[in-house]
Amino acid sequence: MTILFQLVRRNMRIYLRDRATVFFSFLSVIIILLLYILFLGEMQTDSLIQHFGDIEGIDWLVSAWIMAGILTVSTVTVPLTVLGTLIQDRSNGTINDFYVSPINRKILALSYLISSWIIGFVMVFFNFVIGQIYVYFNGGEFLHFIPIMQLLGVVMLSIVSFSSFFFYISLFIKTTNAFSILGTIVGTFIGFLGGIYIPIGILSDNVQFVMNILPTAHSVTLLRNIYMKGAIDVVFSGTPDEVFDTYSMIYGLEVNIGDFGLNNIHLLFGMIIFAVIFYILSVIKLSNSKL
Amino acid sequence: MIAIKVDNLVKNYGEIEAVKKISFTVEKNSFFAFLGPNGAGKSTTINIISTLLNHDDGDISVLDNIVGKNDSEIRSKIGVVFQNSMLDDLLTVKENLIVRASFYSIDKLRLLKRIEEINEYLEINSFLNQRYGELSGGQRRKADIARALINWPEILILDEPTTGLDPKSRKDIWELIDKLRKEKEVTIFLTTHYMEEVLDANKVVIIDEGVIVAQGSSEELRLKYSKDRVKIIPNNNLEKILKEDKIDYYIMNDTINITVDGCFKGIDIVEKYREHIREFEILRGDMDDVFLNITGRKLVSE
Ligand SMILES: Nc1ncnc2c1ncn2[C@@H]1O[C@H](COP(=O)(O)OP(=O)(O)OP(=O)(O)O)[C@@H](O)[C@H]1O
Ligand SMILES: [Mg+2]
Repeated sequence: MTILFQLVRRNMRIYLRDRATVFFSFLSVIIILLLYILFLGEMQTDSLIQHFGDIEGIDWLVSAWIMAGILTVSTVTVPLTVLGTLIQDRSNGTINDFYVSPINRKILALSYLISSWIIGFVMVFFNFVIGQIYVYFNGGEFLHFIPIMQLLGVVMLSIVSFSSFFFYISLFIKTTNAFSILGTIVGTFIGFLGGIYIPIGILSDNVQFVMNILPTAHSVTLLRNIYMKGAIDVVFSGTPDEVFDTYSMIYGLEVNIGDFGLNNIHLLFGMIIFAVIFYILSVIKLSNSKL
Repeated sequence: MIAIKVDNLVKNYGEIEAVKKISFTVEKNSFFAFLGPNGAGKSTTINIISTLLNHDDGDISVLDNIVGKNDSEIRSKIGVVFQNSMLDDLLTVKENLIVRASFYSIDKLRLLKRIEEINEYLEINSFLNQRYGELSGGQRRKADIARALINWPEILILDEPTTGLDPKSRKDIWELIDKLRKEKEVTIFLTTHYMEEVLDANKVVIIDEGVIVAQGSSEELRLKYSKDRVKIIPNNNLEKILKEDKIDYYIMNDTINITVDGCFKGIDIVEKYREHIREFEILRGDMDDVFLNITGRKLVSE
């Protein structure tokens, strides 16, 4: 126990004391935000007004939509960056210093995962608070206690899924160079995968299919539904159901695989299964090789 | 009592045969030196002994535990200073030591006492609260050694602890090893490229290209593989006379050097050519010659 505690604290310190790493884990978030503030937000607002007319609450809707997306993005990028410590430890040999010590290697492996969960959660929470303020100043309201708890629950699950995935991937990455390439790729594509740069509904069926089986879609859809509830109630109160259905399909408030619409339980299970698969793969990989 | 026994060890990295069937033993509480040039296979051997690296063939036991079988027993009894620094740059020395101490179930109170004890040997107190990444080379090395001592290991393994250090830091590390040997029951296993560092060793094993080329105490090796010599600053045509007398010599930094079998032979030479000599020195064959004489190459290329 103390070993695990000490290792987790070490990983957390290493992450937090390196400002560049902290900055880098939010780089995608910052880029997305800038793009939204500069033009994507306005484009989306204009397009919505064109379709639905200048209804009250559109700014709220758009800002809640983007903030939910950003939350999913940071549940991907922060755990990934925290796991960078593992690659660093391997490439500069610190892992050998651990390996000549009488410690349980499972605990060592677990320490990297747990650090990515904890830091991930703290950082994403921080992100959430800022997002709430942003939404508030865009004519929205703060979320209430229960939605916040639901939201944080999804955030946690999302973090666990992605860190399990990236942990497995990082077992194959030997150099910090390769790792930063991975970081760049993920950072670039995550805005697309989350359906943030381009709303998922206007992409081709094949692309939608791929995106929808990935947990990024599951996470972002769950988060959007919780985050945007208030705005949706205001914006779509007076419109026919078809209007909301179209909106929900285009802007990724639902996940359909083929003709099958996934409900919330499916989405949660999607993330859990994803986490479990990569956790098991990691255990298998670690049983016959070193970290 | 034998601390480490290596029997027909073989290690290949793909095509590269890094260690080719070497065998040696290290006595308990002795100072053992593993000497060899770059790429000889020193780190490879050390990493295998300290349970980090798998080997392809051979048997190794450390304090009666078999490598590959009782690894965690071994790990709890050894301390390793790696060739490269391996502590965390962003943590202070103390934070680093706290993390590592937990691996050996050393609680905070005992750790603080331990740090005090280690400080007697290494004088690390002055930079305990400084980040490891901000330390000077010598300080870093001391912190590395402190980390290796944190469990008061029965065997302290040091892989080139002085390479790249300034003379003062080197001397500090020498004194530390001396003091440890005098005051603690500890086996010291050290690798180096520097002959002068193995002079005090109880046993020296010389490895070159994965093969052991010589072993023995440094005195034995010196007697066997190096010659004493007379170094002369001549005052007139000594060279010509030596040539006439058919005595072999070589010139180094404007001095005439004649190798002799033992220092008394040197005195004979000095007596014989007395009037041609301005100054002289009789030098004992040094360890640098040992490697040169065994392999025909210099140990450290200039
Ligand atoms: N991971 C590795 N993969 C492939 N070859 C390796 C690896 N590690 C070492 N070698 C090779 O094995 C041989 C022995 O290397 P080793 O590091 O044991 O030498 P060394 O005696 O410690 O040298 P130095 O004094 O430079 O530290 C060298 O030829 C080296 O290139
Ligand atoms: Mg080496």
